Amino acid sequence: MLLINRHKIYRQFFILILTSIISAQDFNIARIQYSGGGDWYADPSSLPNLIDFISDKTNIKIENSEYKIKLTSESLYGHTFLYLTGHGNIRFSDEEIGALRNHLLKGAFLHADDNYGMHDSFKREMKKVFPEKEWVELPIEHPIYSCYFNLPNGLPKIHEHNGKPPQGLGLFDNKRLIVFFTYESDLGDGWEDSEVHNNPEVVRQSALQMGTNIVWFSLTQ
Amino acid sequence: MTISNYLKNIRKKVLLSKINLFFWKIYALFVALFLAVLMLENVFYFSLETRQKILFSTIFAASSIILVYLIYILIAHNNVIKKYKLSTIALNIGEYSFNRKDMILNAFQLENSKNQTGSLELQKSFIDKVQSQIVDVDQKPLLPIARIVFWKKFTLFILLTTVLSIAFTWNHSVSSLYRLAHTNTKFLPPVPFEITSESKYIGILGGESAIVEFSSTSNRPDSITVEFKPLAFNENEDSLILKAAYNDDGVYKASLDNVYQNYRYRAYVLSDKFWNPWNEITTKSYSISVTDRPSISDVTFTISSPKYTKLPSRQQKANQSEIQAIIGSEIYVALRSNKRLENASLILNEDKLKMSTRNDKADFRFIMEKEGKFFISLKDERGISNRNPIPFHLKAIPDLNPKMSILKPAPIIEIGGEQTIPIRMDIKDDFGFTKLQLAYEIHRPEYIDAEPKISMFNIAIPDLNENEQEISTNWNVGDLALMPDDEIHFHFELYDNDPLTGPKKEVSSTFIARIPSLNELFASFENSEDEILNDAEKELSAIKKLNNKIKEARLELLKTDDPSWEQQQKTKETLREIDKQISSFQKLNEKLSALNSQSKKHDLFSEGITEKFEDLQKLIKEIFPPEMFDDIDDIREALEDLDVNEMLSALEDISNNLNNIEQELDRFLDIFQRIKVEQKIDEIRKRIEQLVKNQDNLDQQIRSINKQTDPSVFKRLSQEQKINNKELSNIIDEMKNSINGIKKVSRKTAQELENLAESNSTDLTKKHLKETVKNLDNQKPFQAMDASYSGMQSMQSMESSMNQISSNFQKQASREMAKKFRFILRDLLSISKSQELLRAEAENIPPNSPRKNDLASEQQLLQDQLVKTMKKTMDLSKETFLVTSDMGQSLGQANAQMNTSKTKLAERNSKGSLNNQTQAMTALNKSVKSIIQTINSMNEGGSASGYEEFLKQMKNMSAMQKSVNDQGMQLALGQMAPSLKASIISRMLGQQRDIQNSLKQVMNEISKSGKQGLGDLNGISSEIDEVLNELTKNIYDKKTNDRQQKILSRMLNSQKSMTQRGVKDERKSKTASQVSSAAPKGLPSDLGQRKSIIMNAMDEALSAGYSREYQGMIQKYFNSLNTLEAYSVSDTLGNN
Repeated sequence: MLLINRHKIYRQFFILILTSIISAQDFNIARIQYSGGGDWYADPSSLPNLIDFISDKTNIKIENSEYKIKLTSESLYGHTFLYLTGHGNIRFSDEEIGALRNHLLKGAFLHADDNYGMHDSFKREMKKVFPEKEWVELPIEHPIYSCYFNLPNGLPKIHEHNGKPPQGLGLFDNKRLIVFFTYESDLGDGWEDSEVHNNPEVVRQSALQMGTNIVWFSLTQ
Repeated sequence: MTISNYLKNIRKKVLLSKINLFFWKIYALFVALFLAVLMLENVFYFSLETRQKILFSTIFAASSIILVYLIYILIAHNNVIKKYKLSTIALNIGEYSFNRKDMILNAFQLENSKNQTGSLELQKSFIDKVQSQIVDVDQKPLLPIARIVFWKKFTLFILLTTVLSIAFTWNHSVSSLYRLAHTNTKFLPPVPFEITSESKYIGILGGESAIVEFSSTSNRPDSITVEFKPLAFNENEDSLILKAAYNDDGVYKASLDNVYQNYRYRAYVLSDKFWNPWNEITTKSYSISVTDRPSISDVTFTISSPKYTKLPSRQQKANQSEIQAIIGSEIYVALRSNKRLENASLILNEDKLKMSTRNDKADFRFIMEKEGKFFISLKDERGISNRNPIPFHLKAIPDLNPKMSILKPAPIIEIGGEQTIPIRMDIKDDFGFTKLQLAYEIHRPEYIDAEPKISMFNIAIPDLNENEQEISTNWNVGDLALMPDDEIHFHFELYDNDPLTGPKKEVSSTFIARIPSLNELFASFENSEDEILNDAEKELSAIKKLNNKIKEARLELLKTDDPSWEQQQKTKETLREIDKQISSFQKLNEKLSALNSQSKKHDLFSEGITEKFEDLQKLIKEIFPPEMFDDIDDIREALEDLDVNEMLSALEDISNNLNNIEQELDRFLDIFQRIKVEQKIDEIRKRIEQLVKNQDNLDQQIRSINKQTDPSVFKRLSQEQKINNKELSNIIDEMKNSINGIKKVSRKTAQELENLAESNSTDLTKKHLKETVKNLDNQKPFQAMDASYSGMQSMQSMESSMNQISSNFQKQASREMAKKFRFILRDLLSISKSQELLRAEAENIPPNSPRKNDLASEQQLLQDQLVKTMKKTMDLSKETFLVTSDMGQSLGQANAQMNTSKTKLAERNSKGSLNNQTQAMTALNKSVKSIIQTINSMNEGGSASGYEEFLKQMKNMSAMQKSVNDQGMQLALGQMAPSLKASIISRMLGQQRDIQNSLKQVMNEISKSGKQGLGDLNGISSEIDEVLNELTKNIYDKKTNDRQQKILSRMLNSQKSMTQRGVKDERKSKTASQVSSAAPKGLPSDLGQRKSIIMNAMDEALSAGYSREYQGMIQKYFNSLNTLEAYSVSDTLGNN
């Protein structure tokens, strides 16, 4: 028990240091603004709620509001945690493909959450970014499901979508998870204000916990 | 002498006389017979047998007669025969010689009497007396002396005759006597002539003719008979052959043909007169010997048909002289002869072909090339050949022409929206097929004056060897670029598989498939609609009359308990009319169904209109309620039972049903009229839409021509433009013609339509399209392009305006309908509330309150209001199907409950009315709910959750933007006059502004609705602002063009994303039920990473610090390398 607690303490300490070191620019979550017609701006209350939850439940120093950023922006490299969601078509220009690839290979992390309908176009575009990589489904035992909050059933299923089991798909660079794509789950909807979708609180909490785990894992892997 | 002795004496004398007489008779007879026989012998030359018979029979007869006579005499002498009895004699004597004839008899009797009684002396005296008297009696009367004399004389006469006859025929008679005396000797009668065979013994070969000759001596007969008798003559089986041979200068010839067996022959002549002493004069029999020829004992023909027929070989024997086979068949002849053969030949149609022989066998093989005949000639080792061989006939079995029977298409068809022609046919041939082709010609309308286009293609036959099969396929004529009014004239050609004379062909009749012009289709549709309206009006009138009749019949039945015969007949007549009406409605339903099918087939109208037509059809189909049929059955039963009450009840029910049917039919007519108007607007919209598509297509083609283009292309394009021009004129005419009809429903829409018909853009469109035709006819490509393009723009503007008109009309109709529903809703809510208050009062009112009296009248007031509202609802039902029967039922229930409540309140039974009031409110609330749902669905139907409407608007805007972009392309294409350039830019500016305004409207609506999507549209709007900026400055360059392209692609993207955004109901934010994870147990060892040298190299290059542009180029380069690598890997995998 003591051993486990010690590990946890060390980890939290590490995070604190890490976020302090980079306090010139606090840890933040940047929402990617893409073209192709999809609603990149979907679930406007999702990220703010997640940020609040992370601030409340962890020691991560995280900026209060989300950033909205284009992949061709020069300030892209100032954001190490990228978030992408939507219902519709995603299309990256050649420049965006190059920038995203570069950024992710250099240490950034992308969480893509399918809000229902972006799966095909997202995978298509990511294939352009990483043609040499294949998606890998993360098993329930993967640390991402237990690094902060323990989610014994793996990725929670928030909304019905196509009624399939939820999948957490990853792209790796060597052993580092650089892209985590949540499919048939809809974490974003789970993070929204409760009156938006009227999800049961349990479901909402599981979504927020999973979001916290993703952020935590991205920082500690 | 005693009397007895005397009498005996007399008897003796009599008998002797009789003998004498007999003798003379016999003598005369025999002499006569002798003479007769002698004379006959002179003539007939009796045969030996006959003479012997004569002799024996003569002797016998004579002996018999004499014997018999002697016995007779003897018997007579013994007093047996009565005639010769002594008593009879005594009587006979006494009769002519005494007074008393019995004196002698008495005396005789006395003399012989042994019983002596009386006086003896007297007796003796008597007897003596008699004795004395009889001595003197003449005895002559008792003796046949005269007859003896007669016979003597007769005999003498016969003798004399005999002598004289002999004397006159001395020679013959002497010979005859001699012959008669020698009855054991055969004497041949003399013959007048003799026949001698000259040919005598004859030897011939089998099959030859045998000629026999005879000659005769004097008195030659005219003809002789020659008899041929087979040597092995079997009397039961064989027959003699008799031939006549005629006197040819003393020679008689006869021949026997085709003799194959030995014969004996003779000639004879038969006696033709009965008095001839000879029966026939004949020769000796001679023989005809036949020597055997070779012949065919057995022959077999083996017929092998040509391979393509796949028929098996068959054999045939010589008993069939006709050989039927298909031309090209191989015939194999194998025979066996009765002799060993030296050679054999088959003579086929006069060609002699040598057969191969072996001992007594021969065979030959040949191919039947044509009809004909053949026979087989044999020669045996003796050199003798067969004679008259049997000819065998070769008859050709024809390879018949193939046959096809075409089940689909019909001879004349219309091609629908699917642009396919189904082909179903049965093909048949005796042996198989080679191919099936469809040859077609495309005929353009006359006013186009174009040469027909001809072509042909094969239709696959599943199995060429199957003799009968069905062909089922569809011909897609979509590629033929057919225009309305075009016709395809086509036919089928079927070939069989005959390789010998060449495949035979069967050609079908010509079929015609037409592309009906939209004008025609809509005109035909309108005609059908008018017909249906007329029919429906007639039905309504008929239903009304029928209802009146039923009411009259009812009234009459009310006056009586026992319906008269006339009344019964009237009722039956009424029933018959009802049946007639039912079948009329069925026909109306069928017409509606045909109308719907036509509209669907050619995709004439939007889904909404089609649904409304289907609703109309459903209304007609269900117009006769099921209970009406029960009522009809009830009346029939009641008629049989003569039950007046039942009849009255059933008639009343039918009358009520007919009232409902009247109302429904009224409703049908009203709604139909409305739908017609909607349909007309939709029609015009659709036709303009189609015309724009056609013009766009044509415009693309015009853009590709230049001065070097072949004149035939100009001509074709001009023809197609004329078609479009004609359609435009038709559309404009249609717009003008429909204004009056539309005015009845919407003045605003009619006005808008009129404005459009007379608008500048319409005139410009007409003008530009005419110019296009003129320039194409004059082969001026660039002018044609300009004119076409301008026409295109104006037409698109027309289209846009028409879409707007149509959309406004729909919205207006929806709004008006929704408004009317809201009024009804308001009324119902008010009534419901008032009813609630009334109920509360009724519940709490004290028993003796004077207010109780007022409650009933308040209830009455509410009921009156409800009735008014119900009437409004009924009126509304004539305009739309949205007023459902459920609504009507709820209102009806509410009314009924109010009525009951009112009655109870009038009886001061306020408590009793509470339940009714509650039920009335429930019914009211139910109808309110139903109306609210209707209003909501109407609102949503206008724009299903908003997105459908937005999508439509985006689509329109995209179309407009494309048009603007195309104008820009024109500008970018080449040099043009500054004035023209300015005019185009000005037009583009105006249109781009219109797009911007539409976009802002959409954005406004989206933001009001709270839906998402603004992000895309904001971006598009800002791009449009930039373009407007540049156009205002009269600038149009590549950048502007790029911006415009970007605007369009963003518009298209936003449409796509709106669709994919889960606009549809499937994507709802519904909390999921727990689903077990299907995640795998572990991670793959490579973590999904494939080693890629190319990507690694790219990463290295990118991190080398090049500028962004270079980095972009580097990425492109490596990505293309990566793609090439992927292709080569897949190729390798494919090859493996």
